[in-house]
Amino acid sequence: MIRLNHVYKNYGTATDSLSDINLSIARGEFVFITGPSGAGKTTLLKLLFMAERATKGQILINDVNIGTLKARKIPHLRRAIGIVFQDFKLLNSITVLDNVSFPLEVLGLSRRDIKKRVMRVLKFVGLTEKSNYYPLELSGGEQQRVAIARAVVNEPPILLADEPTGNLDSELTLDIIRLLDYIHKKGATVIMATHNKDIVERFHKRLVSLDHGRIL
Amino acid sequence: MFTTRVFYFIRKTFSNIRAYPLVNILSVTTISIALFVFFAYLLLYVNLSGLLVNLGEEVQINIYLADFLSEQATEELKKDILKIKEVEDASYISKEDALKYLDEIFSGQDDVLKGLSKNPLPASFNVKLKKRFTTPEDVALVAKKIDRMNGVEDVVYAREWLSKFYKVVEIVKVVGIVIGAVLSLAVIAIIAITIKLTLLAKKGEIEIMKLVGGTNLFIKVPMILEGMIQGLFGSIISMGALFFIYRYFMEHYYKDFGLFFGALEINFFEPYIIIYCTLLGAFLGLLGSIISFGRMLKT
Ligand SMILES: Nc1ncnc2c1ncn2[C@@H]1O[C@H](COP(=O)(O)OP(=O)(O)O)[C@@H](O)[C@H]1O
Ligand SMILES: [Mg+2]
Repeated sequence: MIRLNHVYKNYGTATDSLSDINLSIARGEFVFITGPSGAGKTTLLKLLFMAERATKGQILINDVNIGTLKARKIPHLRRAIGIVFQDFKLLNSITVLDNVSFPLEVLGLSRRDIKKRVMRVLKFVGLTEKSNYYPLELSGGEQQRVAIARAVVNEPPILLADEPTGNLDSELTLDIIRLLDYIHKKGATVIMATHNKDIVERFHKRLVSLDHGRIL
Repeated sequence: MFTTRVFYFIRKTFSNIRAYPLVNILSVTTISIALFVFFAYLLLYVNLSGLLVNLGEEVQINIYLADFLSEQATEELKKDILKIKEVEDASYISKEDALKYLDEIFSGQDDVLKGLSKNPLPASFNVKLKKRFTTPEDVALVAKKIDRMNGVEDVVYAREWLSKFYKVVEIVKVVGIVIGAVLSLAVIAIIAITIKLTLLAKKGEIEIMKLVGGTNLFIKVPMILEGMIQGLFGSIISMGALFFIYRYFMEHYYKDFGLFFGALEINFFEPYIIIYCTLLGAFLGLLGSIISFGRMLKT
């Protein structure tokens, strides 16, 4: 489903942020990408949803070489990928409900269907009561769960999560991982970046370790 | 699907406005001020050219009649003059009327006229032209036609004054349009810059929407509509303000000015101009936001 062949990423600095990455992830896999801060985890995910372009090498998603994708097609690729950003990237001027609705509005669903699905997902992440709050009225952990709800609401085949437990205490961390695991069990390919060793040890999943931009 | 989209865009436009009340208030205020200057200028221009048109209607031709003309011949002549298609009206001024008029002018210097044994003034027709025919060429043509008629001694009109007047009208027209064009460019620029500022405030949000799968069009349309609504509100507010200032002026100051300018009338815009101006505001807002979006959304 996802293939990286000899991928390099250089931001114009002296060292490559990613170098010679070769990686193949099958449909329905759950993969942890680990490594210390600055290892290149976020960069790797950014290449997949095309927030950045690879300096060298080839990235295939569903057999499509995304390097040759027209700008016009990028939104369509992104709709097939749910993304939980390290810094959430919620729209602070609109409510939780509207934030989570956005990926469905893009798809042109009716208002009623949107509301139904969004409330279901909010229930799933335990935020039913907060649906009319604005993101900045929520705690870090709650915002993180809104970000997850938005990432999964349109049931994308691929879910990318960048440190989705970075702001959570250990209790909530487990909840979130179980959530991702549930989405995985329903058929999604999940790639989660984390520097949290406990999580990796606790959940036995495929592991890709990065350091200084290289796969160990 | 299509109507879902349209409703979405409309809803989204208004929720965008609600989400950024301060930015929108600032934007509408700026647009109102810019449009106010433009509308005020337009009001001045419309009234000034109205005044000039009124002055143009004053164009008159005086036809002095031969002394020997009988009453019946005078009637015939009047009919002939009225047959000329450019002529609106011809009023007869008898010798006696002319003398009375002169008398009024020279009142206090009675002896000037007393000395005259018989009335030296000719009878005349005062011919007015139709509104459509008041160029110097029209007037000259009519004068020539009448000059050829029997019983006409002399045809007099303000040839010099008329052509000067038309030069003034031409200049006012050209200058007015140039100033108007410059002003509207300024208004477009101000609106574009203002809307650009509101867009910059949303740059982060636009980025996010793109990252979660929003297409350019999907993000753009509500924001462009937002600019249009800002323009619409701006023009309604500025038109309203102009109207109240106009009313205030007419009630409190017009009397003094009125004396100064003679019978000069100052009118507010016709209703259809008000509607056009309001729509123009919306159009400028639309144009401004399309311009200020520019390449902003190109990935
Ligand atoms: N936009 C950028 N410009 C320059 N350097 C960057 C940029 N983003 C990341 N980097 C560098 O790339 C390396 C990898 O960063 P990142 O992918 O964020 O690591 P991680 O997510 O594993 O902490 C770091 O050395 C970081 O400084
Ligand atoms: Mg990171």
